[in-house]
Amino acid sequence: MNNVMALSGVVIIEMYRRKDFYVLFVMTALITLILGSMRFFDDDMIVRYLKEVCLLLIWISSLVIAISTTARQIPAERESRTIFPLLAKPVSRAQLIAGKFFGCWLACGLALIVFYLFFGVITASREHAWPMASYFQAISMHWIALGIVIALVLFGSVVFTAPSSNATICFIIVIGLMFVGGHLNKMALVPGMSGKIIYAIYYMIPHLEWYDLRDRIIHDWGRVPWGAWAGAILYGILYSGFLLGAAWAVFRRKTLTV
Amino acid sequence: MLGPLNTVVEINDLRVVFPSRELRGEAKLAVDGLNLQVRAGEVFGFLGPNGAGKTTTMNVLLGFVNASSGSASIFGVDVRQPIARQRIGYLPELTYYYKFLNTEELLRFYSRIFRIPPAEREKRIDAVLKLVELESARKRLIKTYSKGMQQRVGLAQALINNPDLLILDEPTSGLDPLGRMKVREIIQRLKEQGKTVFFSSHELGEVETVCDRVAILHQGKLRVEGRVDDLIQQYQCNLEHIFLKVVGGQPQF
Amino acid sequence: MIRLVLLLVFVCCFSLATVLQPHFDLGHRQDKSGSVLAALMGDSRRMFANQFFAKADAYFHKGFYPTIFDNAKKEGPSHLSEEAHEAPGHDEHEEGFLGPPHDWIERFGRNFFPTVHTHLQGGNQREILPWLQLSADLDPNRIETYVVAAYWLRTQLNKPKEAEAFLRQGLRANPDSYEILLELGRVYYYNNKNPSVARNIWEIALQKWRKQDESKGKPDVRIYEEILGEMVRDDQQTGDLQKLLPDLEALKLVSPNKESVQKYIDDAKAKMAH
Repeated sequence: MNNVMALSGVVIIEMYRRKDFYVLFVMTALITLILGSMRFFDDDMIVRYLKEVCLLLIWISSLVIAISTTARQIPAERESRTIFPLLAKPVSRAQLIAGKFFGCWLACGLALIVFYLFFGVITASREHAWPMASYFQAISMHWIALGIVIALVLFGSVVFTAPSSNATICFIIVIGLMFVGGHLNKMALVPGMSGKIIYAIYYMIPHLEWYDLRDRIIHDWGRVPWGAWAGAILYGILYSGFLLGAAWAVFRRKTLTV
Repeated sequence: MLGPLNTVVEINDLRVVFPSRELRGEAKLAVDGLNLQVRAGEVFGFLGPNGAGKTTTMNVLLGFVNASSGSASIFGVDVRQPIARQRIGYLPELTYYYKFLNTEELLRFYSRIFRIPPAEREKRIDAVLKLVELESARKRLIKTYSKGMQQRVGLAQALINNPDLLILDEPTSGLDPLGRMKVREIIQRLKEQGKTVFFSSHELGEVETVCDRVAILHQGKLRVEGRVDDLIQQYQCNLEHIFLKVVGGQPQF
Repeated sequence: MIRLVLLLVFVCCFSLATVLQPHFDLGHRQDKSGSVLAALMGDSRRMFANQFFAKADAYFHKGFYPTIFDNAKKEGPSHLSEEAHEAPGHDEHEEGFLGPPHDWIERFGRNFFPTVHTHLQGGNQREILPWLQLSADLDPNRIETYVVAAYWLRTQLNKPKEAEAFLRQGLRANPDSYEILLELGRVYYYNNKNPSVARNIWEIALQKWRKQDESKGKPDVRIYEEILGEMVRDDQQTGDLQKLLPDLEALKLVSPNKESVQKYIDDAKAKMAH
């Protein structure tokens, strides 16, 4: 655990010394504030469109941060050769994978806190209310979803050598999972083998759409039942663990030549 | 736990084959049945022309590459175990470190990996920074360093855990005469402290000066091994000529 | 020397552009609304305008809305429009678009998004307004947008002035729209309490309808009926039987409740006889 936390610390330092997070946060804040300054039909109590835009930007930004940060971790270490002095220390490859995962995940978690705090301030300025349980569930589910994404990208980074192609492929997969993944069972109703294959894929893929509570937050539907929330968290943890295990299984056999 | 005569590094019948990257290409035999021992307290020179298998052997010792067959151990621990690297320091030929960190942060990170207690950590960092003369630049990001400074960072991180075995890959490559002298001094000091140094180099003059024993590799096989003095006496020439004879080149008179 | 030549070429091109530009008539390609968004997006703006109108409908349903993957297609106008045209009741077909879950994953997933058919109430209908505004900005010729927005503004949000302004904005882009005139008349009648102006507006609406739709194979009878219905209501309020009878006669021709209308005609005739 010591090595894992040491590696995580380095990833977090890298994230806050790069400009990505600041640029995305400023962009999110600017767009939200500009939209918030608009008045529609002389009504200053309209808030849901603002919540929608802000949450959409938060999701986009968090995915950009998560995928771009994670995609370059191991390939960049190999390319820049920093992996050699690192693995020459008493660090196992499993610890390296775990350390990179926790570093990216914790870094994204910190970013999420800042983003959601901003979101909370914006919505409180109009709604004068903070549904804490709902917000807590939204941020925790979002964080777990990012964990699955980070684990997926880490797996991709040990399979694909180029960070850019890994990031692009993972972006497409994640967008596909979020928009289409939950509906594959409807597409699978076609008769024959193709339907069975689609259904099999439907069961195998991570259901990221569960973690998107934006509609509930925007339209004030209140919190998700705690049992369902806990189930989703557990599912996310298990799926992330599975992907990390797969990443380690591939990485441990990789030849690293100086 | 050391073997006979305090063996620090033990390589038994090591064989490393790299599969071909092409569809019908041939696999590459990088190391072929290497047997080698490095004893405690000696400075061991690992020589050979380019492509001889030196770097591959080092990569096996460091866990970067899996052996196809045979075994290797450091301080009696199989090299595939991460704990085998607890007491070693490694200086790669090309030194690259996290550019977004400064030297102090880098050394703190590595010392944390070695589980150096926090109280001792700072003292150790101060000591190695003083040794490699980077005290004034400790807070600067590594990306602002010159090549020579980055080399010294490499040396600092190799020494941070006060290693019992130092593995150096072409330690004087790219250094000016002053830098090379510094490295020789450090190797000498480590030897006096009873440390073991295992390094590869093409600077045979330096090898002859600092090494106790050498091994010459060629085409993946061990061709010559022994004490420097004994080899010079046996071949009646200097180390460079021995090297050329072994690898099949002609000495230039 | 090369830099001088390049600078000269640049200046010549720029000058040529300023000389030639007025000679090209780009008016037919320019968006009439003058909106920057519309100018940037070209004809795809209509697609986005439709999307934003659907977004408003989704907001009206608090996020409970079918996706493109859901089997049941929404038929007929959205509730947003239905309520604007004061058509009663829910669409039972729409309530069932989710259907029973196919598997445990879908069942579990329904905990995380809206699954209950509901409408915004109690002034919260304001939340649909930004999307309607955006839709109108992108496609000023989308008449339904103005009518729906004005309906909610005047009936639930107590903003008749804003409703009127928005309708007039719609009229500038669609001067022949009887739907917008109908709704504008309602603003004057029900909110501004100005029945004479309302009446005039409805008369104009009726004229426009007759001019555009009467000769069509499938005229928009519903709007015609609504215009007549408002005029009949006004006539009944004022007690102007001279106008009431011909309006009722016209209404009877298109109303699905001919018996009810006939009763009103008979009552009016009886009153006239007295």
